[in-house]
Amino acid sequence: MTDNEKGRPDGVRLHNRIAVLRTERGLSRQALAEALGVNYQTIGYLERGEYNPSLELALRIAELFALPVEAVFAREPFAPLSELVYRRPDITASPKGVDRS
Amino acid sequence: MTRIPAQRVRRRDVILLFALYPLGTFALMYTMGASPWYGLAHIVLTASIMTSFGISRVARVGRAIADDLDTRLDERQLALRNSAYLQSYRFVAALVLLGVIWIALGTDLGYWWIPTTWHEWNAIFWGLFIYLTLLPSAILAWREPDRHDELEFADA
Repeated sequence: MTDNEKGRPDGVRLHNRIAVLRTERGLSRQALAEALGVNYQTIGYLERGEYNPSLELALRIAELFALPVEAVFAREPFAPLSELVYRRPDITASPKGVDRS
Repeated sequence: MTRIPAQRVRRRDVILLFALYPLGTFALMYTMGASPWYGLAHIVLTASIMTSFGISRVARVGRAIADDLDTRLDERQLALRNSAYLQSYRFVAALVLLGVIWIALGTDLGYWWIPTTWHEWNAIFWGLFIYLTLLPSAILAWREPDRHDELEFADA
């Protein structure tokens, strides 16, 4: 296993949402690999965070999902989507159609 | 999607590939070193190891993991292959250096055995041939972990 597969030699690891985005769009690893022009095993390595992609591959992945690169990759772990969606104060504290006054 | 065997099968193949040659060569030299048939027996030994474990198993797995033409590998596989090549270079360089030191000291001081006959040099040549050609594939086959969620396994 190369240093890059473990993340980086200095221990820096990139976090990503590839698995969530792929599942959300109903893509298999094979289909995503073909769309990106990489080996299907590389998708698994990327999803597990065992391989940090080059900038070029990261941009291609972001373009494929039609998202900014920072929505797909981050240096800090992503908050779970459920937390982001359902625990936003403007959603949970003020449900639609409920008058709090 | 290329199937690769489970890691324990791959490691067994690598061990057999690299262990059978020296063991077989020593056995042949010990039992029939003076026989005129030794040369033929050694060719059969080398060819059978290369075909049964080298080309058909270890090299095939190496290709499936990352030992192929540049154009067929993605960036992760290229990094993996380059890492295997670097490890191979270090190993072979150390092996050759130790061999040269062994022969140099053996020649100067005469403390230990050094190859002198045609058969002995022939055995070393084919041993190096197997190591040099198959070590990168063997390293890849040895190191690649099992991935139960994406790899298909073939016990052999």
